[in-house]
Amino acid sequence: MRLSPADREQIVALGILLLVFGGAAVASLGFPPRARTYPLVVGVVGVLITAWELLAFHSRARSGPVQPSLPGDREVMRPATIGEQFPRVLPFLIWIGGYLVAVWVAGLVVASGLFVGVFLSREGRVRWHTAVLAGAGIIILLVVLGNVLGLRWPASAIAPFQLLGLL
Amino acid sequence: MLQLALETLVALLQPTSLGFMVLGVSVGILVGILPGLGGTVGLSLLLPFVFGMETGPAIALLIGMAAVVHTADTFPSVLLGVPGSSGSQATIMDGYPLARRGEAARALGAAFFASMIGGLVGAITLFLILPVARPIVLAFRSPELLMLAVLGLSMVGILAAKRPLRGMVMATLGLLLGAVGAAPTTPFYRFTFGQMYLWDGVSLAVLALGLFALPELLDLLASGTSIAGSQIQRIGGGWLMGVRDVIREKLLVLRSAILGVVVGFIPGLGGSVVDWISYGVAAQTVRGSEFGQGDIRGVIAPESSNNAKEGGALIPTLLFGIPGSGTTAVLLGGFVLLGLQPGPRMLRSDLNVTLLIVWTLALANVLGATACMAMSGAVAKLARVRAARLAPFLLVIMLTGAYQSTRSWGDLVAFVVIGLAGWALRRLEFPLPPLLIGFVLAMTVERTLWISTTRYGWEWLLHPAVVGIGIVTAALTVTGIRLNRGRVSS
Repeated sequence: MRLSPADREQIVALGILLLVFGGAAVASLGFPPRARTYPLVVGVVGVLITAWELLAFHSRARSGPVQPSLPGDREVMRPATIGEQFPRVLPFLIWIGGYLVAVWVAGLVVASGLFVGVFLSREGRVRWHTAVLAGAGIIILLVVLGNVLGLRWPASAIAPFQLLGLL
Repeated sequence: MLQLALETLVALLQPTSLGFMVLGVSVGILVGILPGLGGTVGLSLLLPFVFGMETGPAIALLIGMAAVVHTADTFPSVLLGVPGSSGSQATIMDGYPLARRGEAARALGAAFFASMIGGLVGAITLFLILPVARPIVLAFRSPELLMLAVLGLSMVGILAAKRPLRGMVMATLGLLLGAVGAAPTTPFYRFTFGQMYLWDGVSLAVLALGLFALPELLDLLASGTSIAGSQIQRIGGGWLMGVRDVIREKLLVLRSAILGVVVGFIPGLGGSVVDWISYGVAAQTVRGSEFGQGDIRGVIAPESSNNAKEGGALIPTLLFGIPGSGTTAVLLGGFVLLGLQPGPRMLRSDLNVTLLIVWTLALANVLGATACMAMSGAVAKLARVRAARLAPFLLVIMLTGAYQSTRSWGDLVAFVVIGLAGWALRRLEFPLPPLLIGFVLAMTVERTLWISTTRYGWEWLLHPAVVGIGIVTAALTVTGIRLNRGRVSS
């Protein structure tokens, strides 16, 4: 029986884990003796149980479709594969990436205000003045939290913004 | 001890500690209300902010949050028929039918009052057990502590109810991640790939946030809906009737609470099964019940036990350093960040901290239940807010929280990378709490294994206490997995 895309993803994931454990075990052979035992044992145990799970899963998948989650679980509502779900998540990953770039450029305080305002107006579809108020509110909250709790935020990498980032 | 207990209460009632407890309770209520965001996510959000805080306010913040999640998670269970967290699944069975009959207020009133009493029973039990536990805990040395860590690790099979083997794979991955950075037994850096950021290892706060919070946020956004959708029910009236129901069923409340403490005490069993065990026992033993069709006792039993469980779960966490669930694993990480070492010290030099935890647990439960009753109307509206309108605020909290770990850009990058890996692993149905348990216990396992073998050779394997804990570990693992299989099949 041919493997379904979901089963193939499972096998790829288990294969990657197998490589991680195997790689860790091999790398630990180069460590000094007192630093070696623990990662070596963990790596070898990891290889063994991952290989066991991989073989068990493969034989289940070959003999028929693998049972999905329990009825009533949230997972049932999810599409079957990562490949199907990833395009839905990708736009939000781009938002997160954009937020990080903004933090790098303008510092966390200013970037958070901008991010909240723009995200709310584009994705949340709120009115522009509500988005502006929310952005300003976040900036005030971060400044107050930073001062009260003595927290530090990532400052801007660009000099003119550093004053704004530190506020 | 009573004198110290009173002094600790006075310390908790100081404005700073009280303020942080109220803040923790507020966050706990919010986390409980939002389906999918359980105590693990809530504690992960708070953990980075605890770094550098004084012990008293930090404990008030963390315990205040953890204490009330299972009170507030009743809202979605009753109003939406969706579990607010893993501990409120059984409440749906009768809470949701009651809401559909227009008796949501009665169900919520009973649930909050039963939760409060259950939480107080848990706190009192924790207090009473301290003098008894002291000599036992003090007798534990490195080999016994190692075996207790193994006991904690063995529970991952139970936490990963559907796929115990995958739970073990994830726990082993956690143990391996715990090996990143400086080795505890010799000055050598492992698996750092030339990155200075990894010299101190992976940050627990970043790992917890990445594994639990970011995947939840991505799924919530991808769903493109509000938390409640269109399912929300009207609350209606009848709060006092619910409270009277609890008073009338006082024996059921007490019995369920004690059951919750006992199940919570066994590492790994608590969070996911306590409500079902309590519900099942009540359904089997209560006369003339109509469980599953809107019987108020089907709400009272699980709600009494899931709050009482917190007191029971704190016993092994505080006294033996065994985190029995994802929540207590993160909590244990919080203690470590505060410089606290769970174990015998919690009954000696840090007894005041232990008593502070007991008081916070008790007061937070009373405060949480009262607040939940007061804010029910507003909560019903919050659940209708679209995910896209909540997400930017949550992301800012997560990112600022992650950055507090080491205050370097590495925290932000690690948060996103771990978050993506966590999202993929969750999609592939790999259980994530075992990974966190393995990570938290990694240092203990390596250190105690090294001390045990250095001091006793391999003779420590024959110590009576070691053999005893080994037998208990095997018995609990087999029983737990069978219990879970029974739950899965039913």
